[in-house]
Amino acid sequence: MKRLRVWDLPTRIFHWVIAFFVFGALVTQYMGGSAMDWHFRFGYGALALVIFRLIWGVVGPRYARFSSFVRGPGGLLAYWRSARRAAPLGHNPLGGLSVLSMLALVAVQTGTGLFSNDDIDAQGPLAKFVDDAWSGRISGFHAHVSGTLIYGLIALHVLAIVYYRWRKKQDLVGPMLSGDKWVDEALPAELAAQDTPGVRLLALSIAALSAGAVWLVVRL
Amino acid sequence: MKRIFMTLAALSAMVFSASAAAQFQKPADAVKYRQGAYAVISVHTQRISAMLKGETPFDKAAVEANAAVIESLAKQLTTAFPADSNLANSKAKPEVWEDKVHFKSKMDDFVAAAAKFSASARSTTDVNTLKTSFGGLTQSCKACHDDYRTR
Repeated sequence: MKRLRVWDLPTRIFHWVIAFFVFGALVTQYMGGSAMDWHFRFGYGALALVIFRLIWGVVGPRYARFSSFVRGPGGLLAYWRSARRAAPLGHNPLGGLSVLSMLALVAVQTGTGLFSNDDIDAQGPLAKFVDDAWSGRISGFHAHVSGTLIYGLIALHVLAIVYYRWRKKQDLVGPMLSGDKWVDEALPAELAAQDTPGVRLLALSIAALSAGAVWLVVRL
Repeated sequence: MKRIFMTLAALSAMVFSASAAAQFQKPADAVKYRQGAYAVISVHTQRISAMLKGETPFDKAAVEANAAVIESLAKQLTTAFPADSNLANSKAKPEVWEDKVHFKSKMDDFVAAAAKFSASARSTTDVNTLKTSFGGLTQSCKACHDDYRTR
């Protein structure tokens, strides 16, 4: 057995930071009051990270790319039927669907948040551009529809990790920390994900651009 | 003469007790009153917020005046949810009337938080102290909205 890089550093940092931001946004909205300032900041950060991840899914290293894990219904079905066969090194098609769902949901959640208000003191930076009644409807959706779905996807995510750990004897958390998976000696080194300083620098500039884009929107 | 006097007394007692039970002439008035009062509170909340965030210049007298409006209306709102005022155009959830004890405790928290902020607005110009107290006030708004208001 040998170690093989699967998750590049930018993808790992993205993962843990967005997890922290989503958690922070959940806690601060629960607290309310002046914690709403931080709810907004966590939301802006999460939105910037989603933008980063969408770009990284196109230009990033192989296992971070959407093309490596996004499959249509046919591909999903085929994977489901052959589930006992060796899983791919990166995301399997089902995991890929989960990645897409979470990105989409966080995009919807942060996007609607921009137009929401809490009818007290907090108002999203774009709420002033829409009719008050619409801002209210969007707020209701943000708080009760997509906001509730987030809890569901978090639960699914954690349950999947537990299931893989106990039933399939696979550690998903370790590789997301170290970046490496233990693989057969025979696997060629070319299968590793690129994680060079150049790749990381590229990620840093994309992240800076994403953050800049969000900053511009927030200041409108 | 005595009979007329007694009748008048009985009638006026009825009128007064009716007005004590129903502070509003009709249920729709209660809804209008609440929505109006909350809209006014919202404007004054945002004025305070803008000053505490530094978006508009801090003015102690203005914070005090804004806080006094909220404090006063908060007290009025405790009696603005009469039994028959659960109307379709109201965003108050039926739980307001089903869960009276809990709702009352939330309204009391709101009144207390508004009084506390008003007191700190009179006694200090320290923005951080005011922010803490203001946070307590907006939290009391949220606590009630979460349970008793639809969107």
